[in-house]
Amino acid sequence: MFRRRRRDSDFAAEIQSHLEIAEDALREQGASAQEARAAARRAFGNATAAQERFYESRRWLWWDHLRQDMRFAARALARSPGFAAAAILTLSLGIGANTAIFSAADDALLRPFPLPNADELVQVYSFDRSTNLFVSTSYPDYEDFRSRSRSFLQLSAYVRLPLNITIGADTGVFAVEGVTDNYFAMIEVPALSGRTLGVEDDQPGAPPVAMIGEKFWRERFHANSAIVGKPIYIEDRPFRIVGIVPRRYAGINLNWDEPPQIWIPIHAVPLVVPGFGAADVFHRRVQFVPVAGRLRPGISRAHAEAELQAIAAALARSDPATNRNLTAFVYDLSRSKFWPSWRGTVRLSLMVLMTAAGLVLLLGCANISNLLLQRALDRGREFAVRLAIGARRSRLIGQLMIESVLLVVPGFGLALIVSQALSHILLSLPGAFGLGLTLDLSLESRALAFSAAISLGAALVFGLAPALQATRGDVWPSLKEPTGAPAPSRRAWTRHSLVVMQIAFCFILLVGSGLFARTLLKASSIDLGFRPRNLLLVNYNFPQSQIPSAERVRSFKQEIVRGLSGIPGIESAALADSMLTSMRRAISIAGAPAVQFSYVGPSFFPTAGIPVLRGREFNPIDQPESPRVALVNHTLARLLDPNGDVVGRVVKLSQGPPAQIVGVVGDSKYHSVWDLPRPYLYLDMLQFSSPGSTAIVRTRGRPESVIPAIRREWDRIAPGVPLLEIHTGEDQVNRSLAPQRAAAALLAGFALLAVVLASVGLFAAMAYSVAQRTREIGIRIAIGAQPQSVVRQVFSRAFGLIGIGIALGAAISLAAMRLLASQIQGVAPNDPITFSAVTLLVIAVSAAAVWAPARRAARIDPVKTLRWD
Amino acid sequence: MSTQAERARLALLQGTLDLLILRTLMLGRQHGQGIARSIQETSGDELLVEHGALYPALQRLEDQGWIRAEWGISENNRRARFYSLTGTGRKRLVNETSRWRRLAAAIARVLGPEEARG
Repeated sequence: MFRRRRRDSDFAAEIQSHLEIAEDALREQGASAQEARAAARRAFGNATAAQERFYESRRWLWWDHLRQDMRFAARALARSPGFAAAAILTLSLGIGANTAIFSAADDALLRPFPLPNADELVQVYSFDRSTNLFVSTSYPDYEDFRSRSRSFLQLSAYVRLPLNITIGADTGVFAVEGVTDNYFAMIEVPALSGRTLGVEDDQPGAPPVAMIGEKFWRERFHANSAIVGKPIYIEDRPFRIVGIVPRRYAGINLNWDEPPQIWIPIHAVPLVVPGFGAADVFHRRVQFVPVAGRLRPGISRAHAEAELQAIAAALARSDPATNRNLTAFVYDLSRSKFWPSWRGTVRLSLMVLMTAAGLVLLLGCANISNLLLQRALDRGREFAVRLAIGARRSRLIGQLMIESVLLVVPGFGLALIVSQALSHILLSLPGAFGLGLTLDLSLESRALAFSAAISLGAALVFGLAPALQATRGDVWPSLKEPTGAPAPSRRAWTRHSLVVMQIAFCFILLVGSGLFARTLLKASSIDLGFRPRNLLLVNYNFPQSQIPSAERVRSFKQEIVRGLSGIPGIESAALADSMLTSMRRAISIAGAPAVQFSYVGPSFFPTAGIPVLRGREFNPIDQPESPRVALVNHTLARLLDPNGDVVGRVVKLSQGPPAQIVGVVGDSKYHSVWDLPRPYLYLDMLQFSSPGSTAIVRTRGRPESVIPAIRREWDRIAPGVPLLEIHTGEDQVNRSLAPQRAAAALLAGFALLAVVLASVGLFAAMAYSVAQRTREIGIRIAIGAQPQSVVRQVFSRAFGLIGIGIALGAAISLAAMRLLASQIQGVAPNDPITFSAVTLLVIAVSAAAVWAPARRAARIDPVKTLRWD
Repeated sequence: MSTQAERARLALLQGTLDLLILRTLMLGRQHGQGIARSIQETSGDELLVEHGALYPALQRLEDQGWIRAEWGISENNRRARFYSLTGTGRKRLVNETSRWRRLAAAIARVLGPEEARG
């Protein structure tokens, strides 16, 4: 189609032949050879022009034009490398940020799992109507769903647990998934090697088998295929490896920290977690499995949901004690990669970040647009001349657009690097999306396509307006005017609106990050009720298989406290099982509503820095065989007795024997810094069969300095118990603030970028406007204007725009920040301090940006300017 | 490059020139110079063919498949590119001719009788 059908040389030959024939004819009429040639040429007219017209009619023209224009644009950009570099850098930051955030949004909310016929896969969540919470499903409920429903090809259940895995001498904690016999049939993922888990593996008494993930296989077994058939030790129990799960499958749930690496039959879980066996996890009262299924072809999600809800209703009637308030919901798998109730939070955080990144990109585009416009106007004469001698406007627009594209292409390349870097930051910020999700942010085709699309979009956005403006048909004024004359007001209007927009966007981003920063500031002044300074939390993972011996557990708990207390630099140590974590457990006290509780050991309260208000704390005389004791916090004490006089009272608990309240302690924060005072109960860790998972330590000096000593001593203190991690109490507080911290950090980064971009934009616009009005200002100075009045004039012009920008930004912020109300804590979305601080900041930065152009205006030498042209 | 005004004039001429070329080629194959001369002679020297416009027009007609071209030898033993009418070109000529006649008649009616010069 784009073949040149006739070569230019052929056409030249034809013209040559034409001239020759004409000459022949003239000579026949008696002219001399020379006269004939001249006359023939005269008659023909301009041969070159004809050739040119012939050439232009060819279809290849567009390609030649494009190549010419590219060369031309590249030369134009090469003439101002500073401009090109700044534009490319700005673009790559904007596009990179958008790509990274999109990648996260895509993985969390949009992209289906890479599974066959993924649109048939659904996730089933039980729902407790009494608490309005989504819950896991009990195993008997799952079995009833599976046997009574007709909507599913396969309905399976799974549970993910962090377990100790031993390979050779190495023991580490990995995520293990216990799955039902039909799980791999449901996801339709065949084994990479060996076989998948099946019906025969999930029978009582079946030999323990496991599948391992490809990543695990490559990293731990160096991709040795002979590993299939060999044992792997899970919590010290041998499991025969029967197959390898391909890498593309890494669980269907982003909820829990690590993606699963090892899969075992669900009925083998009590083998490795005896506590599960003891708790009788396969009872209807224990809700511990998420359920997922594959719909039969042609069955809708809604139909399956209606069927499961009918089954749930039947169960509520037949087993009211456990199922009275339960129902079930069915979600498409790609829309339920995490708890459905989190969807709102995740979507909001991503929307906030996406908006911020989008604003930054727009700001960058506005800058480039402004600079391109100025460049185009500076070339106004060139364009006018070209239009006058017959260049088509479309050709000029095309040429300017090609310049934009030339900026975008390297910008896009750099953006991919930026987005990878930003993804790393995102992944390293826990709670960056409002909560901890395990995302895969590697750059894949969807993110790439998105990135390419916004790059082209950006080129259109920043390139088109200047191109249209610069090539407007006002040929004569441009030719008649000397350079440096005032631009037509229409053009100024475009530039001014760009400045206003930039200030407004900048304002919005600053308010957003300011609100999160204020939230964090507020948090640091909140009284936690305990002292996180000089506090260490030591997490360990007691091997589940060793639990059976109660004697061993008891001595372990005592040894751990004794051992830790003996380390130099440690003031005291105590057992705890949770501090400022999202873990929630509730227990009912007869005559009071259900309260949350935790198990702590002796000297927990002095170690944590929580005051004992009345009575005593737990102490070593409280042993498993002595009467059960409990402590209550101040709020619970008030709840049980108006005067808080509860020491000595015996309360009946919904789990275990009654307990005697031996003391009252101060209120503190239990789950997050933002907790309101709530009733809380403490039970004695030493009277509980669990080996615990956390010890807390109060240090004399800097807590970090004691960490190496703890690591060194750990094997002596607790042989055979892996040490998971040690972190400071301040870290723990920060972790609970992670979502706000992440939002503040990201938004602050974006806002900083916005401030820089906006001030560069403002500076450039003002500098240009001064340069253009050099003559006018020169004349004014010549007829006696004072430098101050010139400066004042430049400032008042700039601040008119800035004022509009601030007003616009404030108006939009007031409306938009209300959406953030659930994310920011302790600060109102229209927080006047933030708004006024941002206003002052914008004014200060703007003044700095306008200062240099204003000075230049004041120093204009009238003599020089009037001599111009 | 040409200005827009020039282009407008060309556009007006184009249809006419195309028609005249097709009409000339009705009589047999001819090279460019021959076509120009023939138009000039048959119009009683009223129409002067601008050669610069002639060749692009020939190219256009060739592209549209109304005429075809091949290199040959002229009566004076010069190498020349000869054009001849194709089947579609013939049909086109019939259509164009009747359309042109109607147009000429309409223009004549609009202009009215020629006024006598005073």
